[in-house]
Amino acid sequence: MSNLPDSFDEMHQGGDISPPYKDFATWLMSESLDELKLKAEEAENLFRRIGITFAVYGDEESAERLIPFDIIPRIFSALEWERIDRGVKQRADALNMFIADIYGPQAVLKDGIVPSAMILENEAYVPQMQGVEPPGGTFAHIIGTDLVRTGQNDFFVLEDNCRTPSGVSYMLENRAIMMRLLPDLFDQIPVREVSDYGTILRQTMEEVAPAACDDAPVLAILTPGSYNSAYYEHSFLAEEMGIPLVMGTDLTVENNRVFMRTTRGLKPIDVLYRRIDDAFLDPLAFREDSLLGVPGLFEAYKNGGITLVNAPGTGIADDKAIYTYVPDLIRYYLGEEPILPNVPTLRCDIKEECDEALSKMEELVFKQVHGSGGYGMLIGPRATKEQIAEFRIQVEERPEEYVAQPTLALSTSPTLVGDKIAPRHIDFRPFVLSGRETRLVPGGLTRVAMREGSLVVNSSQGGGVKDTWVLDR
Amino acid sequence: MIEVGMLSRVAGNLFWIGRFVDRSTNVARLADAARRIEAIPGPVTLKSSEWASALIAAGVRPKEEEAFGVSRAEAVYTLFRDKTNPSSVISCFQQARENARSVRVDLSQEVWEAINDTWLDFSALCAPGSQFDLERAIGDVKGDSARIRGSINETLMRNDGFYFVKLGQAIERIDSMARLVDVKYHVLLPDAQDVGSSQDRTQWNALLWAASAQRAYSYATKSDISARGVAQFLLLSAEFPRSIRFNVGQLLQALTALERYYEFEADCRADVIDFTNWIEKTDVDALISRGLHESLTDIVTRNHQIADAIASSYGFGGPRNEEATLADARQEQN
Repeated sequence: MSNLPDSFDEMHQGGDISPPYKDFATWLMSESLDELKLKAEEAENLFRRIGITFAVYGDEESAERLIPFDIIPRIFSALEWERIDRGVKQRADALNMFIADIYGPQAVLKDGIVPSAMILENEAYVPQMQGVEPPGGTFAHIIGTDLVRTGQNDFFVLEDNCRTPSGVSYMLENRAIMMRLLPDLFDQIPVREVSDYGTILRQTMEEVAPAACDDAPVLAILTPGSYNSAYYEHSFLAEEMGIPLVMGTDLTVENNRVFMRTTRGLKPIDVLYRRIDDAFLDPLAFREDSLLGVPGLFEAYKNGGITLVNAPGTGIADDKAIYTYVPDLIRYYLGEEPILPNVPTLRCDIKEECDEALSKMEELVFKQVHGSGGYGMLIGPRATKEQIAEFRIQVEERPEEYVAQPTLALSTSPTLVGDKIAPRHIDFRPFVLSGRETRLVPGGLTRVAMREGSLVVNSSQGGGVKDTWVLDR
Repeated sequence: MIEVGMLSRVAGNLFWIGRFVDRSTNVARLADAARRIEAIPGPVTLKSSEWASALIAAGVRPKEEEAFGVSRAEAVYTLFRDKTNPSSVISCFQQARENARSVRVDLSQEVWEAINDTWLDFSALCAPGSQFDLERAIGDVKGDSARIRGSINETLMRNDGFYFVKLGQAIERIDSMARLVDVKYHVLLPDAQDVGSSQDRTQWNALLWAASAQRAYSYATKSDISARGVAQFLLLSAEFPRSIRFNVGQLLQALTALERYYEFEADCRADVIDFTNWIEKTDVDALISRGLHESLTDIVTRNHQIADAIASSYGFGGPRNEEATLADARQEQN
């Protein structure tokens, strides 16, 4: 069924162990499979005890699930990391300049780099944001950049996540659990720390305090509540930063300032890391029926009474239709060549490109422009004739909703599955933080498709996670 | 700017953690008493009435006629495993865990893990197909909730959060003891003065067992079991840690500590002071002559009013767990 070329394996090249894996491979050879399985069991038990769970919607029986965790890490050399670090920061900077431009002078549209209609008629464009200038001009303070690899030096950006990217708690918990299970390994192998992510996020938030803040900034995280799929992460981050985790009902707005209801009365908040979508933020400004949001929040934001992290409207930068323009945006705003390339993408809203895409559906991956979480996609080489025929009708009906990309032979990493270690496809999401500076901790979330041959790494679709090591040398 | 104070919603969650954790133990104690009575030779009616009174005292079958005639198996199921019964042990643990999950930022890691472990383990014990052993379940519930209380005492900062847990615990203990004594007196022994038979003695013992008070009673009173003596001890002992008087004292203590922490006196203070003054002055004969049932009903009502007053003083009154609609909360996080 697979029309894929052989995948690049992160650990093995021909008969050789690739250099960053040498020390780890030595250790791995010395461990028996039974010992590894025991460790994996311990890890699973820890996840359960700590309560690191996520929710899968439409699955009432097991409302909270564990994400499969693989104890074989994904390892980057210092050199590989140096390139990723520069590449994702470059991209984050360009995206932030792009968003500021769109909600400001719109030079990029006037200069004809991106078609105006694509922005102004895009669902992700938030007209209420036009003219808003957040502190420091930063809109997307947290960006998750999804990277895939197909060869030794072939990294591609698969997509940008500029709204409320999740997964960073797994970066931190995976490491914590690895260190607990295999402390000796970390003595032998120089793995760079990721543990100061919370401190750096805090620092980033403090740097973008609003005009109305005249003291040490008060920070908080806004969650939709414990039924949300990413609730564990919300509470984890609040704990890491030592700041309150609030819900919409805890907040109220007076005189363009946002307050939380406490046992000692109202207390102002200066910077709010919101983990609810734009549409639900404020029933007065966006969806009227939102019960999650805070009436008046957006007005307070526009008037400099609070900073929202990320700003509303940042979705305009991670739309899959805009994605194809990002290399041009890097050249336009920074005058640099992109360090990390895009995956070549066909846009179905353009007739010629759509025809080309439809002519070889069995080779391509089709994605919904506004879709996320691995829903609404077709992987041509892995689909049946019936699935392709069905999907073709959808694309023909609404071509503007789809893009198509070659099916990349995602790199594989050795993964403990059942009674053996076998290659499984992986991707990688580092988290870029932008305040007064652009920062990145040396690590990220490696997702792994646990099923043999599967290319879908999303947790909602049965994907798992691995610890990611960046070596110090 | 206010430097102290916590989210009112969080204070409410902590208060309810205190209540639910204690409630689980109280339910287990009721079952333990019923189980002990079973093991004593005696009339069958007495044995089944023990389970009935446990159901009534747990607030599961508030109507007497519904409680009597319930089989042992059904009673055990209702008290421990029935998820539709909000006071069953599984529901208590589930609600404690849900409250803890929404405030885990404000708990220590140990408290969270104790609550989460308890819920996981007890859920496994209650899973369909698992062997549910009553004796083991009673031991587990007592042990697990003691672990939770222990980790609260050992690891929680002595600040507002801790005092809210303590307030919830005291309110729950007052409520459960009042209802326990009421059931045993009112339902099983309508004529409270008519004591002396060996069957009565078994009943009083059962009541002391259900309160985990049998040793403490004989140690403290050094006298034979009597209706008056047991009521005096369970309601008004200044030393017994589950008596109503003791827990009214705990209530005042926790509130005072909270007020000292906040340097602020809450509106609910007056009610708690009144309650304390009253219970310290009253004696058991006054309660009995007024009608023990009436006296206990007053205590329960007053306790509820105080719980409401505390909630509104600190802003967590109104409907609890104001989660927004599920559909809204379930937006995808990329």
